[in-house]
Amino acid sequence: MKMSSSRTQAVLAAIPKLIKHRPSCLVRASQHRNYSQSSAAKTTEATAEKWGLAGALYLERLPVITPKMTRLEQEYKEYKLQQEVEQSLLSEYEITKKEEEERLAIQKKNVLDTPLHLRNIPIQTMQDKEELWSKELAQFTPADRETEADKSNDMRSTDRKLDQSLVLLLKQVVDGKEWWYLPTMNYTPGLSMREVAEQALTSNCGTDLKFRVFGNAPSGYQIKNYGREKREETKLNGHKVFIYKAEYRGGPVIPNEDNSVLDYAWVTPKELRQYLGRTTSRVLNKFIIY
Amino acid sequence: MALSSFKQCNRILQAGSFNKLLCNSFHTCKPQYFHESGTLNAMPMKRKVKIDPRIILEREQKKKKKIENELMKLERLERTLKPVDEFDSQRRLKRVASERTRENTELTREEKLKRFHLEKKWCVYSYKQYKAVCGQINQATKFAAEALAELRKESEELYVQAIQEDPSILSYSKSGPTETPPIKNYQFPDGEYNEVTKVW
Repeated sequence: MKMSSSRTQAVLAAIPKLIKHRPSCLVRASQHRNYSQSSAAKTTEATAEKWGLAGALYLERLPVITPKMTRLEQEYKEYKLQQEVEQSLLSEYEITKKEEEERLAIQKKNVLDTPLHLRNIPIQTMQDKEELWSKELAQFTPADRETEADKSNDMRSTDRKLDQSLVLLLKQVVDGKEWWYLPTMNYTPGLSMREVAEQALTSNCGTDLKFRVFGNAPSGYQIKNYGREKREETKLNGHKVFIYKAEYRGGPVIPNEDNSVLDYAWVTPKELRQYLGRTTSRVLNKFIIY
Repeated sequence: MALSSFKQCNRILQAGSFNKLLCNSFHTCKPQYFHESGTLNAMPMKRKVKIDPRIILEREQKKKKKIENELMKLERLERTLKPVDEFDSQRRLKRVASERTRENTELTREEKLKRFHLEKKWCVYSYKQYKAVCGQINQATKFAAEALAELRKESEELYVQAIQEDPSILSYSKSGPTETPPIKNYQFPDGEYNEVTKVW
C-alpha cells in the first residue's frame, strides 16, 4: 500500500505532538519507500515510482585540537593528578634533590670551616637544572587555539573552529533557485556510486583537493521528492542521493562556476541547520559522530 | 701345590703325549718354581674390536650437539617473557620503599567530601558520555545499512559494487587531536647530536 505525500502529512499532523517517538512505520512511509518491485503492474495507476540517482560527498575536516574541558573534567583531572602524586613513592630525582639541599645547608653552615679554595664551588644542583629547563620551555610559544579565521568568522577557511569538525557545503543554482547542499552529482551509467560521489567533489571543487573516502558503501541516503511540475517533466518521482563520508586531507576548494557553483563554506555540524534546513540536517545528523 | 719330583715325573709319564726328551732330564731348579696353577673359572676375554676412528669422532660430535641443543633451549627460555602474574616487585625497591615514603598531610574532612562527590559526578558523566557515543555509532551503522538496502532496490549492479571490500582501509592511521594547533612554517631546532664524522 503506498501513500501519497499529502495523505502522509495529514496522518502525521493528526498525531498529537506530545508523542516524541514516531512509530517507525510512519517514519518510513513519510520517506516514500519505493515498494514498486512489481511496478510494471502498477504503472497504469497514478505515478510510476521511478527515482533518479545521485551521489554526494560529505567531506569532513576532522578536529585539529582537543575540545575545551568542562569544569567537571578540569576539576577531576586536577584531583586525579594530585591523588597520583600523593599515593606515589619518592622518585630518584626527588631524593637526589633532597640530599643536595641538605648538603647545601650543611655547606652554608660550615662555610668558615671549609678552606678557601673549596668554597663556592658551583655544583649544578637540581635547582639550577630546573631553572634551565623552565627557561628553555619559556622560549617556545605554542600557537593560539583561537585562530584569525575564528575572529573574522571566515566561513571559507578550514582554520575555523579547530576543536570541531567542519563539513564542506556548496551553494548551487538548481532549477533557478540557489541552495546550499553537499557536493552532488547525478549518476552517470558506467560508474560505481563511490566514483560518482568522488567526481561530485572533483568536478565541482577542483582536482587539487586531497581527500579519502572510506569504503565502497554509502554512509547514508536522502530521498528528495519532486514537485508536480518536475514530476511531469522528468517522469521521476524524485531522486535518491547516496552520501559517502570522506576525510579532508588538504588542498584548496576552487568552486567550478561552469557547474553553477557560486560559493562554498566549511560549516560545523551544529551550524548545518542554518544552511541546510531541518530535514536535511536531520538526515546528516544520523551519521555524524560528535 | 708343590709335589715331589717323583710324583711330577709320574704324572708326566701318564700324560702320554708328552715329549720324552723332557721326561728324561731332571730339573735342577726348585720344585716350587714349577707348579700347576689352580683351575681358572673365567670365560675367555672379549676380542678387542678396533673401532673406526671416524665413528668415534661421530659419536663425540653427537654428544656435543646434544649439549649445544640443550643450551640453546635454555637460552630461548631466557628470552621468552615471563607472564605478568609471575612477577614480583623489584627486590631493590622493597628494601628501599620505607626510605621513599612521601610525607603527606592528612586531608581535611571537607577535602575528602569534595573528592567523594567529584567521583560520583564523574561516574555519571562518563557513563552518559559513553552511552551517547555508543548511540551515535549504532545510529550511523544502522543508517548505512538502510542506505545499502535502498541502493539495492535501485540497481543490483550498483549494490554489488558497493559491497566490495576496500583493502586500502587497512592501511589507514590517524593520530589524535593535540592541545594546540601546529605552528605554521615552524623552524625545527637542531637536537643534541654527537659528531661522528671521521677526521683523518
